Amino acid sequence: MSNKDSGAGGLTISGFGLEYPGLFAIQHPRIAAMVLIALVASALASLASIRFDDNIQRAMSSNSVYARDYRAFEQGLGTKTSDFIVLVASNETFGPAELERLRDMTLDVALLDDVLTVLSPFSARFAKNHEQFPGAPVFPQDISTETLTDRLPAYRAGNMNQPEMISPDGRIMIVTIAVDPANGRARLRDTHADIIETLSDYTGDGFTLTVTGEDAIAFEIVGGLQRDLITLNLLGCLIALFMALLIFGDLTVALVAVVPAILGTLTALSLFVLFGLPMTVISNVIPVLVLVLGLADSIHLTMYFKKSPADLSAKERAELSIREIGPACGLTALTTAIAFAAVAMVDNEQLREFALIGGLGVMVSYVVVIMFFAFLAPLCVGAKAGRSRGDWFKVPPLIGRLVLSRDRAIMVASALIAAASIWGFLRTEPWFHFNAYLPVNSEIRQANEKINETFGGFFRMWHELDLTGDETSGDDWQRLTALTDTVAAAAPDYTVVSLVTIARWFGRPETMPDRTDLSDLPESILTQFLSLDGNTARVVTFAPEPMANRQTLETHDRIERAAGNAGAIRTVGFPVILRHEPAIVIGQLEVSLIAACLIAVALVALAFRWPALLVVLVVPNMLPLILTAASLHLIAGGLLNPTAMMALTIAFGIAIDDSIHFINRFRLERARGHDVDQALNIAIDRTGRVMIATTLLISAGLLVTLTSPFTMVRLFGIMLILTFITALLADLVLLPALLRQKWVRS
Amino acid sequence: MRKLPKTAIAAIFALCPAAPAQAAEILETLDGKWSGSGWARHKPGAERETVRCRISGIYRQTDRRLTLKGKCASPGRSGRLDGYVEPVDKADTYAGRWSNPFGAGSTMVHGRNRGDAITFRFKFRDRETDETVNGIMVWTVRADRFTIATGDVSGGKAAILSEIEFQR
Repeated sequence: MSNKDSGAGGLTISGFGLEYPGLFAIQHPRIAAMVLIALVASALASLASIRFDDNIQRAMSSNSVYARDYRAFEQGLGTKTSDFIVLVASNETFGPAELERLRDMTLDVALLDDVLTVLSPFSARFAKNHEQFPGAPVFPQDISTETLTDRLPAYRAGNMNQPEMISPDGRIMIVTIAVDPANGRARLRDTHADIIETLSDYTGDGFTLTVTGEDAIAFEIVGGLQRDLITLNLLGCLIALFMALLIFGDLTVALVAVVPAILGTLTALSLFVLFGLPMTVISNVIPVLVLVLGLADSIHLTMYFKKSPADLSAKERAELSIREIGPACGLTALTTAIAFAAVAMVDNEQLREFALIGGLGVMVSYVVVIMFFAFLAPLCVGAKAGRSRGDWFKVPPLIGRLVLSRDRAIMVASALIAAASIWGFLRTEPWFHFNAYLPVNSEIRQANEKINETFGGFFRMWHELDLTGDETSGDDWQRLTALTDTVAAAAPDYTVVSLVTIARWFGRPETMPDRTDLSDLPESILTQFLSLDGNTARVVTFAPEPMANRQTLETHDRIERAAGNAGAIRTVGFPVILRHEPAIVIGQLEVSLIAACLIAVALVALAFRWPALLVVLVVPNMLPLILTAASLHLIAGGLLNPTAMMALTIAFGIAIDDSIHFINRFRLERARGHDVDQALNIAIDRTGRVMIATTLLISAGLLVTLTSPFTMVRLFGIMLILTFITALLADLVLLPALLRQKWVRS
Repeated sequence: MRKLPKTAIAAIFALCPAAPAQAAEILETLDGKWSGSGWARHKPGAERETVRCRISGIYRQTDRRLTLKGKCASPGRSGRLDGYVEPVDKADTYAGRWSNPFGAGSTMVHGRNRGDAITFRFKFRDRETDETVNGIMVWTVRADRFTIATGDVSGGKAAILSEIEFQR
């Protein structure tokens, strides 16, 4: 059967041959069955091999100057450590007995195999020139009340900006555990588990213990991801089945629509294994997206099948559905894949992986869906023709009347909404809250906030100073002293440590400590202050994530400025990456969104061989995006993060699908001899109800993201849903209003 | 090696609980995993600091050699403990190599068994003063526990530097 047979003539859409897998399945059912069974079986077998990303720094792995500096710094650091931070919190002030227990705990942790050093209040010592306790540990072997009333205050009085590891009220303590990461991530995970097991022997003693730090956060995220993936997909499948049942009112037909989509999702999931890529917080939403998109295709095909002429055989009706609707479905898959692929323009490993798997996943799922449909529809739907409950989703007649009588007013109103939305969007602020990448109920999240509040933070920033090597002039030492004091003045609430503070602790602030003085420091700590070649001195600031709140951001910027002014050649560290990288990523995502928009629109215009679509499609599809972006003021306090920006790009790729189906129907009706207004009315009425059904279905499917413990996954889902609903309105009202214009039709 | 002052030996022995153990079985008794806790001081006169250790003893029947390996930690410091001891031809005497986790480095040790205890002597170079220090280490062994005490016996004065009791 050809397009001409269906009466569409030369005005039908070109699906770039994407309907052929479906037609092939109809013509060669046995071969197609074998291919599909092999594909699904291998996909199922690969599911057990899916792994999850537990390397936080990869999220910020671009080629920006900040990332390059940090990598170069880490390579030059020599001994690298992975630091776990234990937050010990109690409702009561720690007494001597609790402190002795906690000291035993720190020692037990220090005895673990890969643990290099453990820094805690118990490792603190008085300066060697201290009048009362020269060189003595702050906490002696027998901790008594006097230790807390005499020694601890004496230490604090002469602390010289050494890290405070116990809060002034004596209820909170932090312990830093430096672990050797040389044995790989798996061994690091084991050590993390060993640390938690060791600590568990000490819980229930009136205090809570929480392990945090970059790697602990990564492991927590992985745990959340695994649970999230299962929940999102199971719930997604259930909602999909429910919605399909609601639309078709028949379990068999609903299963015909849902099963291919689920199998398509499974196959898309297996791409992670095929490419050897891990799942991340970002890519965790891909399966749900692929599921709802596959289901939308399935519903378009099944609905058309049910409405197809009853005098044709089941096989002919399936073929007709694939010829008429397949190209539009193929094109929608292609535009969505383009939106995914556009994300690859961002200089970031995880986002590029998201782009690859998302783009390919959508296409693979489309092929699986259309081939399965070709099989299942004739077998299972067969003679079940006629009305479905999808007919309930009627477009209100008012919309048709409004479009035909007030098209200019609609365009003016849309222009005003667009202008207001652009104004709102321009007032959003790039922001990246790292803690938001943790599950909302995470103890680590709360622990991080407590550490920031009490100790200033635990992320390290290094301000590097080139040394001239002329020790006789003392110039190097003066410059290092000035840098240390300037940074400390810029961040009075943060701990700032350098060779200068160590020299002050030694009681010799005028001279740089020599190697003998520093011999007690483990190399992993010494290299934090002085490079292995001795040519670079480093001032270390312990800071919170920069965008924890406005105050932390201001302080961070002040520190960077002050360090630069005081002669630091560069400031590096995870907080620096967190401060600058997101703005770069957001900027690149803006470019990728524009690229996705232009390419997808050009492709659709080409598919319909209709140049005017280059303009017509941009307006109703960009308007929902800008409106959703502006709505960030309501849903995210006006803060624009990379996830939100990426959601807009993907949303565009999906939102344009309705436009494609609408224009496809409009062209089909025009080809059947209807005038413009009649064709628009039919498209609004017939395709409109399918658009409503699929939008509701996709939105309902995406509602599962709201069950995610990850704020970013929820935000992603909310933004997509908002875009789809506004895009549906734009496609039902603004798009037909534009199509009525003479310049468009010419 | 300079002869140890009797007061030093007496002081260190005073720390160690007396218990019956056959000299010949001493090394074999130490086979297995041990957890230790006690104290150590940085140098004579310095304050005591808490120490905890976790070690494994492997006794080889063929040459009657005991190898001890593990890790000890005090606040802010930790180090590997590594060494072996084996009987020498002369009755009740032992020789081996011992690595102190807190900086004495690897050194040869020579010991003599008396009752349930083995007293080892060794020398090491103090990193701060660069002087040679005469050290003494006493292992007191019982069936389910043993104690390692060390001391500095240089200059005729005894200063106990650590005492750690191990249990299975």
